[in-house]
Amino acid sequence: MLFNSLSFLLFFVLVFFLYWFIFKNNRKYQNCLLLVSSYIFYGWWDWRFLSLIIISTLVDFYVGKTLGKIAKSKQRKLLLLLSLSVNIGLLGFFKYYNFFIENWIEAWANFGVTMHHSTLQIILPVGISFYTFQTLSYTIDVYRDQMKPTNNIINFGTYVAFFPQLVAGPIERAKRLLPQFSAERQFSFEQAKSGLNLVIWGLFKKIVIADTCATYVNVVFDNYEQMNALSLLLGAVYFAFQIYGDFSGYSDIAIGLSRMLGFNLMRNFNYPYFSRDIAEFWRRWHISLSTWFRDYLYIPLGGSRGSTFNQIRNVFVIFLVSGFWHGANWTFIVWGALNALYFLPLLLLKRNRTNLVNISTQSSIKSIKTVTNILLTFVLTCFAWIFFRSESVGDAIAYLKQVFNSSDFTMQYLSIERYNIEAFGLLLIFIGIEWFIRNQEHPFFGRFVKLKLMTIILLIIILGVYSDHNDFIYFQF
Amino acid sequence: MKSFLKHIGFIILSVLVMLFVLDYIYTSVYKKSYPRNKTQYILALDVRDTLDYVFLGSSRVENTIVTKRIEELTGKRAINLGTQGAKLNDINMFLNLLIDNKVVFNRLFVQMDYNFNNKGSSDLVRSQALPYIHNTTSISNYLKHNDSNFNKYYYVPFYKYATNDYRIGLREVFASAISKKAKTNFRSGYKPVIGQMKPDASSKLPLEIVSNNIGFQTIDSICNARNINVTYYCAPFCSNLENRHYLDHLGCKIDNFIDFSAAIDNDKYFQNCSHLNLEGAKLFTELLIKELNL
Repeated sequence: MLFNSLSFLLFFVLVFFLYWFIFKNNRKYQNCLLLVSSYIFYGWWDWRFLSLIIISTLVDFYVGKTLGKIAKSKQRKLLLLLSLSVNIGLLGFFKYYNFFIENWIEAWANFGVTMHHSTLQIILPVGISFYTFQTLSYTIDVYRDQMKPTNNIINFGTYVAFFPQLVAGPIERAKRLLPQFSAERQFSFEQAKSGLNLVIWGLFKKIVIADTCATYVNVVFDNYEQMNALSLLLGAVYFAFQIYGDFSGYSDIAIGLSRMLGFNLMRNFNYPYFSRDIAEFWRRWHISLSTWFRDYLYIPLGGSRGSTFNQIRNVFVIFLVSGFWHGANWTFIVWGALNALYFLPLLLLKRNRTNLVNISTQSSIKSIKTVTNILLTFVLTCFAWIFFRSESVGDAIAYLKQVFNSSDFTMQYLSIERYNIEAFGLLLIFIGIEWFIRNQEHPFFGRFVKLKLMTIILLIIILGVYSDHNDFIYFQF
Repeated sequence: MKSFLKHIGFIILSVLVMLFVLDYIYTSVYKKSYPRNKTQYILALDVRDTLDYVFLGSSRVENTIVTKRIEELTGKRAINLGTQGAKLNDINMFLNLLIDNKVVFNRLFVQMDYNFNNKGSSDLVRSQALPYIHNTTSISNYLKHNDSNFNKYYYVPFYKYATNDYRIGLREVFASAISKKAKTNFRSGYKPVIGQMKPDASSKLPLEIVSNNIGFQTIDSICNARNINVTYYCAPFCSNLENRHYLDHLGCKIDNFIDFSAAIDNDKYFQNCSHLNLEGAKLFTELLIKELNL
């Protein structure tokens, strides 16, 4: 069930009605409703994978509960190990089994050893990387005594499977979301309205921006051998906006839907393409994952403390793991490595926390520098996105070679019966809107809110891509 | 909650108004605009348009019959209404539109080959017909029988434009509104393809022939009922065509069927195994004029 489908609209209307009208004064029933509807939502894809969520939920619930009762360090470590083994074991099997087998065989083949190829036909369960990290955060926080374990299995189950953010985040921390299931819930008009506005803005980013870009991206990346330099460069830019519109659009919808149900989720994107350096980019892109890795991997490894060698090691570990989290392909690992390389100079020069405040520009030389830095960061990001989008590292290198080999910068007519440059106008308008609203979460503020809302809805209707139904990219992770 | 429901109500109402208004605007633009596809061109024809020869079929007609050459050599007016991907049900709809608009024509040529085995209709033709779903009975009937989404297209405002945005969405409606000319000259209807086929290119006809095709039966019965002089023919294929015996079976099923599948024996005249290139199309058109006494 996709957010941009009629079936989801009907599903959410029904849930909303039952939640606020039938079970209005009973938090317990409301949570039960959320749990059941979350399982229906997930089972819509493949009911068999529900068992994985239930296993993760039960294991972490009981590990957490037991951790709350015992004090011995060794037993606590064993319990944490049990949770890590089950969760990472399931993730590893479903996501990485074939990757490791194939690479293992290839590695031995380099030494002349032939091994039997026996990969399995494994379907990747939707959202497994997201809910695994979410449930792990609970166990780790309980282990670290940073939160008390819950005794309510319904609340915990709902926290793990909460349908607005189940399949593509934001990856919520137990400390933040779990207490909300126990708190009193009052319907707030302002909160629900702001949630609905965010859903509309998210739909615009997905259906208009991401899906339009996808039309171009697919043609350029699938036929890069026939593309000229301008098409290839634009292909990378289009992909940058496809993945941003797609993923941040999904996050906005998730946050908006949650707000309509009385929950507050963390912000996942904060206009990342206006970042002035790559460190700032990672503070603004997929914030829930970046902060997860920061808190549960980077800081435990020592973070930016210790020797220079350790600092470099930690940066590479976090970015390589982050790349690998996205998928079992070397392309993601190279993408992670590139980001590590971009980040390294900032870390070594101790400039990785320079741009912490919001961007402001005035008519001054400083503003030119700011804009230049933003453009430079965007170019670096696009370069890395080429690896992220390509089928293999070889394809990505061939794509880049083609950019440099082709000196043709003319506007190319594509097989989709459109000129390459046409989507660019739409992107420029979108960038303009985002620039003016960069200190807000959506454009519906200030004066003429209703007019702005109607304009965006009109654009969704007339510019949306409905003929080619596109899944959200991050579902595959 | 009351305020929120009012807010939702306002949004739903606004969306409904937008859908109705947009549907009206798009449909009006398509109804009044200069033709940008063959469906629109046929709809624009009327009793004053007297034609000698009409060619109907798929791209194997569109890229093959050089109507200008027919006019040059015979002085007769011919039109190529071949449309990429068109199947017999689409051809049937085109024929009905010509009849509805009282277009006078002396002889009809219908492409007949593997399309006899094909059911259904072309996505492209269906999309291009959608703006006229409420105004043209032949189109409405055609869509009713060929599109499972007919009811949604018919009753839900703007649904047809949203789900076919690629062909009749904002981009196309804008081009129609500013009267941007199409690349094809519809008066002749011929669309040349250039280049030569790869030496190893081939094409395959079906092994078996189906017992009947409803689209064909309807076309044939319309022609019989209205005394339309119809010729069914198969345009040339390259030398690497497999299962040629299929055409013999087709000849047994259709009385006035002429097989030109092997009429061009040099593959240099093909763009691919099923489509003649510009030179091949001219050569075949001249052959057709001679063989059929046009």
